[in-house]
Amino acid sequence: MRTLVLWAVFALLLMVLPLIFDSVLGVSILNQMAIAIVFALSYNLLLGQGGMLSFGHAVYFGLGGFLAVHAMLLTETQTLAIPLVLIPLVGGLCGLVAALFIGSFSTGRAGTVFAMISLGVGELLAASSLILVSFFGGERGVSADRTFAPPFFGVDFAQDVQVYFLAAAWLFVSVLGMYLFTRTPAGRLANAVRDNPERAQFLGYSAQRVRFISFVVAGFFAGIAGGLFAVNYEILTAGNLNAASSGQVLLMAYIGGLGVFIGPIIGAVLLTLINSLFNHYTTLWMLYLGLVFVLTVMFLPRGLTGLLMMHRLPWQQGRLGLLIRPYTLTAIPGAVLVLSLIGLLEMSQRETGPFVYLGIPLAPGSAMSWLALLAVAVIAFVALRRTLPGLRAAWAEATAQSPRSLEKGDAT
Amino acid sequence: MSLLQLDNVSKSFGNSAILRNVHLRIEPGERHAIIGPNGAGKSTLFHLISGRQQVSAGRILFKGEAIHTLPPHEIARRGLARSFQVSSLFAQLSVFENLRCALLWPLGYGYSFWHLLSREKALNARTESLLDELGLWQRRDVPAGELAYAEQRALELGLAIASGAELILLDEPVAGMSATEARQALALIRRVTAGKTLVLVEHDMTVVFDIAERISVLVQGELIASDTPAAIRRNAHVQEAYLGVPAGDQHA
Repeated sequence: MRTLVLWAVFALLLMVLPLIFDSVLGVSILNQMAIAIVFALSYNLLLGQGGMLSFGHAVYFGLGGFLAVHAMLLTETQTLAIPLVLIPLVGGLCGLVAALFIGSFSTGRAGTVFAMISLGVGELLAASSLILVSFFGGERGVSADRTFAPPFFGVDFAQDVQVYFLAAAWLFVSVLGMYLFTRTPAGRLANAVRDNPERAQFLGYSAQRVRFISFVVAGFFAGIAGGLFAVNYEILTAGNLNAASSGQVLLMAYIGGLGVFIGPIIGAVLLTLINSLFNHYTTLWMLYLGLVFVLTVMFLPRGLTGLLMMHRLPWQQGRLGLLIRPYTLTAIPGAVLVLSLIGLLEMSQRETGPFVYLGIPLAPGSAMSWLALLAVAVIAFVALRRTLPGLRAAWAEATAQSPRSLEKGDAT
Repeated sequence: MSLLQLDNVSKSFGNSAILRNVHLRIEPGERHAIIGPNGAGKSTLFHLISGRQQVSAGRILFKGEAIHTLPPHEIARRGLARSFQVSSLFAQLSVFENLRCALLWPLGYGYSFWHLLSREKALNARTESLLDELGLWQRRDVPAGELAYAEQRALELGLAIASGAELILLDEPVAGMSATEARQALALIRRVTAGKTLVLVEHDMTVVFDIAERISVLVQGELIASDTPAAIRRNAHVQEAYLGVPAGDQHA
């Protein structure tokens, strides 16, 4: 019952969002988010649920996207009349077929072997995407016009917000589909094979077959995301199936958190948002993203959702209040430190004239700017070191095991 | 017809022979213990029977059919289950999920992605009765990786017996347990394997003589005796090879 309410809230949220963020930029970001969420969740079926580290998941996204664009082109030339609402399905089926083929030999082993094959297949496809011009369109890519498709109950999808509702519908179906998959025997066995492939075999299951099923399902949903991309942008290029694209989805899933179903959703929403908002302000965006990823791997192996989940125990024990003061005390110098470091990085990047950073004029040419910012960073660092022990002590107190908490625990 | 039959089974890694020409018959319903000093090849024997490793020579028949060429999951499906000396669990899954995974194949779910686990009443009821039987009811939602040692051993046993396999191989099921824990574990083993055929590797002789109806002695890769406990106790070769007492010195 509770889950039913959650799904209803999710559906309602999807319907209300474009009314709140009704600007051109708002709708455009929402569309990107919908695509990213489906893609990141499909990736988590591999890595989080199935223990398969893939460096080439964009292959299924890209192939699905390219076939979807071609399907749109066929409609444009009136060879076929595929309704636009079904284009993501075309992408999904293409991703599924590709995964059936590649998964048949790549899922024999998890770990390094799987990762290397995924990398190899990804590079192979990225290379051939520049060679096979008739399908991939070479450097320019392939573009189509979605408005040629037959109208869907009078909707011609000329406006982005119309595309949003198409994407939101597919997003809802895909999220539901992937959620339900994790609760079927095949989905649960994927977790078992992730944890201990050998034992799963002695329970009657071929580890390869279990991985293969997850792999194909992941390929299908990645293809749907690719199809949504085709509908939204009306163009696909080689960049959509290369290693950078595969890396992006890995970052989203990992930073969001692999352990919980909702983790990659949070990662996709956050990274899409930050990406589209900050892209205009800084050229160092990829550097910051890389730093965030490294810090996540080092300090938050279970991602942002893992960080949230860590607070369940203090919350259950009613000790969350203990953390408010130390959190605030640490957050202030922490934020100042991060912002001043970003300021320093930005200054080193912009060798030319002065610029305004957070309302403060900075001049890369003057020693004053450098020294002042450096001094702020050092002071913030010292302050942070002084506040951290207090936070640690408060955390230890808030998470101290009470007898009742021994009964806690939650899997997957 | 024997339930399990090993004919002339040998296993070697490179030049070193681990098992040499092992002949073994396990009859239906029998409780059979395999004993021997460390490094005698007991665990390797289990690995060969369960398909984890390939025989170098010889053949293994289960219910009259050759299984030594099959992968582990095919052997398991024919009704041969095993436990591990070092607990081999699904660490991140809850105790409940661990046991439910062990029931999926026997209850015919295969690789289904069209059943919702939470809706399968019979499956969940079976899982719960297993939890109860193993004494893990209180710990059902705890990840297997966080269990105490004795609990992990109980779950390990649970994964082996869940399928209702006809033949169960237990690899040192009570090793590392305190006397009390071992006694409880033995009672549990007796209870859950009633009516099944049981083969176990065990170091603790009190356990072996307590539970086994027949005992095979493995020394340096060779099976030197296979008989009733009383006969094994009297067997001079066994005493010499296994207990380190030269035959004939006993009465000196």
